[in-house]
Amino acid sequence: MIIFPTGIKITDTEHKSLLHIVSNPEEWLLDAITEKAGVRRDALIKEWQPKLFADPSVTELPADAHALCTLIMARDDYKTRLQHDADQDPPVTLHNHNIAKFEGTSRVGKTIKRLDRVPSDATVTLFPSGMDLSDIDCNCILAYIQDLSDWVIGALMGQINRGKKQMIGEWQPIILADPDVSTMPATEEGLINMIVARDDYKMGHNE
Amino acid sequence: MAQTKIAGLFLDPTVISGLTAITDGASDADYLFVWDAGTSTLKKILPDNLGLLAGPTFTGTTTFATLSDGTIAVTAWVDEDNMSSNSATLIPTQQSVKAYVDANGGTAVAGTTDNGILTFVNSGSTFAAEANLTFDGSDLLFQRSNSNGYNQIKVRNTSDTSGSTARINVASGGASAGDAYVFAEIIGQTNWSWGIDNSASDSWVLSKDWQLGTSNDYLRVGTSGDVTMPKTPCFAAYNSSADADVTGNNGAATVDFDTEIFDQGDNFANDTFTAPVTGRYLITASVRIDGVTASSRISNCEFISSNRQWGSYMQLGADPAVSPAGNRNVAIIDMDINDTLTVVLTNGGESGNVHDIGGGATHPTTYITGKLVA
Repeated sequence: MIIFPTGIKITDTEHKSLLHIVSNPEEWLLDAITEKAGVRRDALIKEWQPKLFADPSVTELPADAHALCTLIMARDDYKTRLQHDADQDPPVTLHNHNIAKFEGTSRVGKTIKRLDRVPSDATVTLFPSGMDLSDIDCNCILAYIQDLSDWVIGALMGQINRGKKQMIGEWQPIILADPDVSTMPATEEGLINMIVARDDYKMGHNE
Repeated sequence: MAQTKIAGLFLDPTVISGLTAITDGASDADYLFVWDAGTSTLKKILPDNLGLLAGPTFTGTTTFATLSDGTIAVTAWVDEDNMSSNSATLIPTQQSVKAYVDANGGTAVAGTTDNGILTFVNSGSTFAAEANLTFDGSDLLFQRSNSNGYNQIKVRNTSDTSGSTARINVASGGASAGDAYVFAEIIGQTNWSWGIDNSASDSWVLSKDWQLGTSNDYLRVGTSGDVTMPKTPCFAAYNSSADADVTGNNGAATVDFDTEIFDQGDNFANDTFTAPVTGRYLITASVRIDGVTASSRISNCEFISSNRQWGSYMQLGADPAVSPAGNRNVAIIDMDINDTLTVVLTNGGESGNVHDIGGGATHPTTYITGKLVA
């Protein structure tokens, strides 16, 4: 399954923030999805095993986790999270607020004080040919979440924000104590650019 | 000629019949004789016919040509202080061993094979032994490349009785001294240290560092039993000013928490908490609602986490309407690593989205808090 066929576009500041805590953002994101899939695969098996044991029509189970998940997903009584939500009365609302924030639409039309992210500022493309994920991984995740793309964007933005905070938290005291620095930028973006431009700064050192 | 008494000298009766009979009385060698009752004959007993019982006792001076265990044939003792003959068949005297060790103290035993002699260099306060075990006056080092094996130092008390303990003592000098701690490292990768931080009121500290008392302290236990975890995910944020007209007619408003009070671990940003590890998180939220009229009905303050949505319904609106009102939610939520959580308020009953989400710059009225609990 390929998601984000034209890639994920992030700003230069976001990219630098990401590189502060991971040396390879694409590899990190793929690993994060794989880890999420593994956790959900285990949860799916744990949830369904009692039902399978109690089902007299099931006489044997595969000893392979992926095969077991495939068997579960092929059952008539299996539903994805989205199918479950649609069956509720009233149907559960589909939330894509991670994508909405990423695309700068979460606050549109509302009288609120904070500006949204500006997607047009993005200059760095991750996965320019799209993310190629295994079907079984995707399906294990979709057993529990509504929208895979929204989850991926949420994970990515969470890591970007973590990197941004850690970078500023670590380097602002160094800059303040540096006798060679008399002023520093008043914006987050400016401060990050200043930090990354320092000779003593090293990217990806926290990974 | 000196006489030797041998206790335990025996002649096996079963061999008597096979001995050579004395036929002529002439002597071609000295020998004992024995009467063979079976044949009524006197027979010769030669040295080869004699054996020794176990544990014989010799008195007087005993000399030997060779003593052997079947592998090593010892031919003599030697009193040689410099061990110059380097023989594999001579046994040294105590005096010569002592003289050799005294004269050669501090010189490393040649080679790196096992079972080397550990020596102490008096002049330099150092040990020298096998290459795997050294002491340079500061560090006692046991180092050996041991592919697929364990290098370990054991402290074992095998007595299964009350009070029988085994322990390793790590100590520093006193109140003015440094820390007493244990340091573990994956070389070039990760360091962990744990022990007593002398400069922090003798707290027990677990630190992801080669030393204690840095910003990498992960767990601190005070001498009063107080436990703090400075790096464990824990956050609090609130809405600093009102967001007007965001719900009331079933509008789903993502609650704005624009001001962070604290964010241990840097996991909260843009109204969203992103789980840094898979675990159980205690999340609480309270949302102030302004603009409530008598038309208001259901209010749902939901935690929208990746794996599920956690609702908190309440009835708004009454006659007279109470405004401001509030809706709260508390749950311990299962979150996988990189899952996200936001708070969404959905109110209904009004003819339009006339409800505001309240905020306050001084005292939080709309806020979210959370921490990793398990």
